[in-house]
Amino acid sequence: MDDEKTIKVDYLARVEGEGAFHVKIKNDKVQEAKLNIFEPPRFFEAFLRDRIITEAPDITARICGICPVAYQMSSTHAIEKALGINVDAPIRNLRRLLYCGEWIESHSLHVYFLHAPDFLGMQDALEIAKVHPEVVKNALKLKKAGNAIVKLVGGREIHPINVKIGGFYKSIEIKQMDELQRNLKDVKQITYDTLQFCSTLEFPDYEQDYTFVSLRHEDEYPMNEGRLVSNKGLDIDSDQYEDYFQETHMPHSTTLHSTLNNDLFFTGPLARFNLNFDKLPEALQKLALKSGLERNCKNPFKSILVRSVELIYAVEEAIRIIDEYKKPDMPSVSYKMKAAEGSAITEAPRGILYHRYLFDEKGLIRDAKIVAPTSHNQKIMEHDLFHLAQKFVDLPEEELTWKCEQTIRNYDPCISCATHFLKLDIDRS
Amino acid sequence: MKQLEAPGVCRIIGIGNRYRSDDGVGPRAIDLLRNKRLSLVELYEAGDDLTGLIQTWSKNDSVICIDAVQSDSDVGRIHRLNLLSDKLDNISLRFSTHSFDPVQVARLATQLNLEPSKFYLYGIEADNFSWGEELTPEVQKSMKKVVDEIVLYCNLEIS
Repeated sequence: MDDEKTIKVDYLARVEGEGAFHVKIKNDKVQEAKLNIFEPPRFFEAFLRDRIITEAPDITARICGICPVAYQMSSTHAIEKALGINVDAPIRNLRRLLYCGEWIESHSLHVYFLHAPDFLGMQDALEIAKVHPEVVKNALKLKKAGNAIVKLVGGREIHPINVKIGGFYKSIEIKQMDELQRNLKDVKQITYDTLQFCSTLEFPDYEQDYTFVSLRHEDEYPMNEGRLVSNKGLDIDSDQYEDYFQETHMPHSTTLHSTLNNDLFFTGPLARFNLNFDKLPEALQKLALKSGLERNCKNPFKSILVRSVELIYAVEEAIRIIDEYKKPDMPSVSYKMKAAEGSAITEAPRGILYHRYLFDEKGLIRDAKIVAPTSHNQKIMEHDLFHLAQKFVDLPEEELTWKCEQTIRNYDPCISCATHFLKLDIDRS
Repeated sequence: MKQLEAPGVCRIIGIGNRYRSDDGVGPRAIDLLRNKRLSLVELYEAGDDLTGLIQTWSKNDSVICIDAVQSDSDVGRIHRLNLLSDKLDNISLRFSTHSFDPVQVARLATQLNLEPSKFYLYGIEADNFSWGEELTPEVQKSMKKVVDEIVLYCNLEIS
């Protein structure tokens, strides 16, 4: 008689938005693994049509409460590219500072509140707070330092409003940066403690031969700019993205599944780290290797270590930018409207975010395409679910379910973003 | 001699994304409350991540959160919870649509000894979370009722 079972999680906790997963196992062989995303489709690309391009940064920032800066940056860069706008160095630096703020906010939330409980065998951050209240208080302090950057540079913490095509609505006085700088210097040690804490975690023995995809910039660890590269030879500009990347609708999910030449790929902190290791400061490279990361890390569970490395990087980069900050002569550069089309990719905390806009001579958007990091990672998450469930098929059901959930959280999926999109379902039949 | 404590502020927090239909009920309630010109009241709009909220209040403040919830009740139903005294163990994680919901925030704040003196949640049963700026009529009606209750509460607290 066949031994069939389904492992099923109807509501996946500690992710942003709603989703589930389902793993079907027959005679100890995994038959299928599906990640179901069932937030209703959000149709924001259609919503953008006939809106003026100047509204795009504010509208797209509303797509996600966790990574609004990424949406503002991808939309702004795409439109500026179409119009041939080049911003001055001080504006570029302010944008990088804003992105540092979002990485700090998002990574500290994910490391401590969403992912660390998995490694500690705890249900949530509440349990961590019972055992290590100071650790959680420090995590909140770190996150607050990120929020403060977004609040000052972005105009407010939630859905920032200060970004515009050509720069910012209002530039920041040097004096306003003082408190921000004090906060950052105050939390710098917390980022090192975070990496130390994460280096003590135990990581499941699981590696795959992934195709990692991320931005790569000549001079810096990528956030806002760069070419799109992979560890398997991809090296393209954002204008070529749609020649290489495809989106397919899958019946079990409301997010589109993205592929690279019809194959799987992996985006996010681990991909950025592997493809841009040499762009990290030398001292941080050494520390990363000492913490348990490899030069080419293929274990997705170690993403929590990479996020900790990126937390150190983002705080130190923000401190550097503020130290060197010069107020822009004008908060934004002027431009002439024309009919045009442009695309851009930036590095959201959870991976690459693609935007393309086609607009007319009045600046009215005729077509928009947005591909979120969670859409990019949906197929690789299902791939990992399948292979991990097979590797650990002998584990008791509760433990296997736990590992499957942890696998998905390696990717820090933001379901609200991806819905065009999480609840787990393991079927042992 | 016992040190005098600064009087607490009533902090009202609207949670959600106003571009996701009913999820915007919290921020829209804050818009209505802004027009009521309440004294000793601070109004906030929070997005999807609520962990940062813990650092917005002090121990002697009162906090009221307004959020869209999904608990398989009738659309528009108002759930009134005292997050410091109600038994919350049976509250489903799906009660709120956010990764870290107000119930978890209350538990975490209490665990860290950072809880306000009073902490209430008005949860309005929602229906539609798709892209859009309209509230479902039942949610709209309940939002107005919640705003009236909060105004009454604030006025009573001050008097």
